[in-house]
Amino acid sequence: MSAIAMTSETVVQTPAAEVETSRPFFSVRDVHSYYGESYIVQGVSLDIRKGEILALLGRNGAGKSSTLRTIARTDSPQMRQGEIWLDDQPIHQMKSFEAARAGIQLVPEDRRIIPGLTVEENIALAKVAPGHGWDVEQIYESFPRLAERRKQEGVTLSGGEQQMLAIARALARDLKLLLLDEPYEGLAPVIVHEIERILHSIKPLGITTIIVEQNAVAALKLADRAVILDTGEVVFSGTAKEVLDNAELRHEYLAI
Amino acid sequence: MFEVIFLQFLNGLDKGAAYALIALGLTLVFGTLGVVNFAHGALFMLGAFTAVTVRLFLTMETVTIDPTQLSPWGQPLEVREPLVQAWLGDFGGVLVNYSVPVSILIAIPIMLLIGIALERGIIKHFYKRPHADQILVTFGLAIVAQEVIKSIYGPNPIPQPMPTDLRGAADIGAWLGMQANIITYPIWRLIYFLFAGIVIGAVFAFLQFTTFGMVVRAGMADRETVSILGINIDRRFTIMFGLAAVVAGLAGVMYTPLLPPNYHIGMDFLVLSFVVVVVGGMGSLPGAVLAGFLLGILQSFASMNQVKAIIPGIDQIIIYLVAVVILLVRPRGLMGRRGVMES
Amino acid sequence: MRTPLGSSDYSQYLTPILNSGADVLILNHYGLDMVNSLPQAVQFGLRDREANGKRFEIIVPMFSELMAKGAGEAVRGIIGTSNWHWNLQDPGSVAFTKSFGAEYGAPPSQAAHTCYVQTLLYADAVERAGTFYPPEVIKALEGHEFDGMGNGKTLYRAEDHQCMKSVLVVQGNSAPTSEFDVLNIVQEVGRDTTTYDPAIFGGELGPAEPAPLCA
Repeated sequence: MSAIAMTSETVVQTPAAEVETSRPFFSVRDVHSYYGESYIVQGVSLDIRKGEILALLGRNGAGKSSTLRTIARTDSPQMRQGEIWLDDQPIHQMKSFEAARAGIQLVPEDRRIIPGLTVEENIALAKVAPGHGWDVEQIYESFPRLAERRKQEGVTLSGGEQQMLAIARALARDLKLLLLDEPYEGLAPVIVHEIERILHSIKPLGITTIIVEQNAVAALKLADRAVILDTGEVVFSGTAKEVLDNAELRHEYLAI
Repeated sequence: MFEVIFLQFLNGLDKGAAYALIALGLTLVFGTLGVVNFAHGALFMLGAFTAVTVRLFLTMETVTIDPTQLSPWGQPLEVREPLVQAWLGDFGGVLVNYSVPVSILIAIPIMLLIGIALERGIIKHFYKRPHADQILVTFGLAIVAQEVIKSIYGPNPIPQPMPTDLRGAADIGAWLGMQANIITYPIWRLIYFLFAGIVIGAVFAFLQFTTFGMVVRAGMADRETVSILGINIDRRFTIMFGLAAVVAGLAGVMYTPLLPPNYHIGMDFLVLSFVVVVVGGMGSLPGAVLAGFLLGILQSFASMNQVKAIIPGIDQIIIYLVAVVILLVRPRGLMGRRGVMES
Repeated sequence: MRTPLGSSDYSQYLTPILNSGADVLILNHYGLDMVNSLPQAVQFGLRDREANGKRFEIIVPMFSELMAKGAGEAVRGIIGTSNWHWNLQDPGSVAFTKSFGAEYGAPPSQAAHTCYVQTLLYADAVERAGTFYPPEVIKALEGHEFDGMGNGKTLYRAEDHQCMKSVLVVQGNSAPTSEFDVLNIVQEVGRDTTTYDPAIFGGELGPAEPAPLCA
């Protein structure tokens, strides 16, 4: 236990010292969020350097998805305290559509492909608001499966294809911070590998990313750093390798 | 017997078009904003009174009192000169004659403004409140609108003549190569039917083939996801409320020659259009249109003496009877989706 | 054809009449129902239709100026009956029309005439009975004959409490000169013609005593 506490202290201090000189590319400061009266995110702080991939880990109900949704400024959970800064923009003062225009893209849990819209329309939807990223040709080139099914209704795709579409939708926007909420959830192992391949293939693009994932090992393979949440609070912050090497930590908070 | 059934069917389509048009606007509001809008009938009524107002302006008169002549009740005679004809000559006469179609052009911006002002001013504060609160506030708005109109225009119906060329009945039987005067139908009702079809078609085309429409459809299905893609969906939904107000208002304008409007005209349709929406399925636009036509046709056939001879009084309960049966068999209505108003 | 009252669209009841072979539509609606249904009947072409080689007619048994105003141009040429009309030339009607017009700027409707005359009648009956007690007032009115102010000698028949008087046949004015000039008098039908045998409709009159007030 003491080893864990020491690790977290030393690592948290380093970026905190940096704040004095220059603000990190993305930073969450003491954020508190509620679903109705239930207190879910209890004072989370984290910093990410530009281009870094952060794995946000923890057990079910630890507040991982709620933290991502708070960052994306969705209506629920409701953020009652704290600050969120992306590239010197005060995200905490924004609504979700403004946060999206500021460069935050949430690839939500369950993909949230829009029913009634074709694959093509789902992508076109991401291009309605100002701030465009990849163009449609580039998306279809990178995701040939979507190109084949462009006229098909999005929700009739397989789980893996829907996940590709959700990622493609995010890439169609001018991205500064990508939030991946359980990208592997509910997918067959073969499909998980495929999505992993896609995420690894976009890693060289240097998109600053936070990934929330039950499959901690898969997330840590992708990530540079890791933060572990427990009951709405940060209990560990360090490199991905540190988590992979620390069996006690994994057992305590990740049950692996 | 064929002509009797054909006429009744035609009448059902005609009624159905009116129901579908009103239910469509109601569903647009419910599907986008999630609000059960009891002020929808009042918007219909405000549309009708736009037509009344336009006609009032077009038929303004200069009144001079001629003391040399006396009215039959012994007052000095008032001599009235139409103003618009005096200004514009024959064209003024055409304007007066076509006051109802002219009102359509004027009602579009007016209803759009009324709709947007209502949504931004009042209704938006109720999105996070329970449905019961939304019903109360929209019902309250309807009553306020009615009383305002009553205080301005009085309680009595104000007839709105249709253009002279479009009065009377068209001989549809003769068009179809049948004997003359067997199947005749009022021209204005045929126009209303066509008009409703065009408006319904235009709303569907707008939603289906424009980017704005795509965004609105997406927002109706999943508001949150549309927002996280950077779209200000609230603003679009406000415009949709304005559009629903326009649809309701135009339905009201076009209905004035069929039914002299008074302040209460919208309420007659409100209950019925809710039944249509529920039968069609809350939030389903095709469902609202389908249910509108279905109930219109059933109501028309149920009003025939031959049918009433079998089940007396069926004409007055048919709509509610069908609603009960459909809701028992399909609790979400004909085309209702899962998860609408269920939680 | 029976219709519900209070409807706004009567079209589904009008379409079956078109080919029914009828010569006449007696539109027994009053008030708002007539305002709604008469224009609709006219729009369906019933006013200008021919049936069995004759002109089809729409008859409105209770025609009032207010209804005619609400129905607008649809009343033109439509025949109906009315109690009274402001253009009657008997001294009582002329005086009433004049003072009503001076007060309200419009001629009185037949309903205004009814209210005025009946208020006077009630006051007179109470005076004669010497009490407000309804059974006594009823007795004072039963078989009472008086001048109906434009309606000639008028009788409250004792047998069935119906009012026997002359009735006007009126027609919607085809070329009105003002917004009040909506109905024309076609004919005055005397009381001899309008009186019918009380046995036709018959029935008990019921008790005259007022129902006890509920606690």
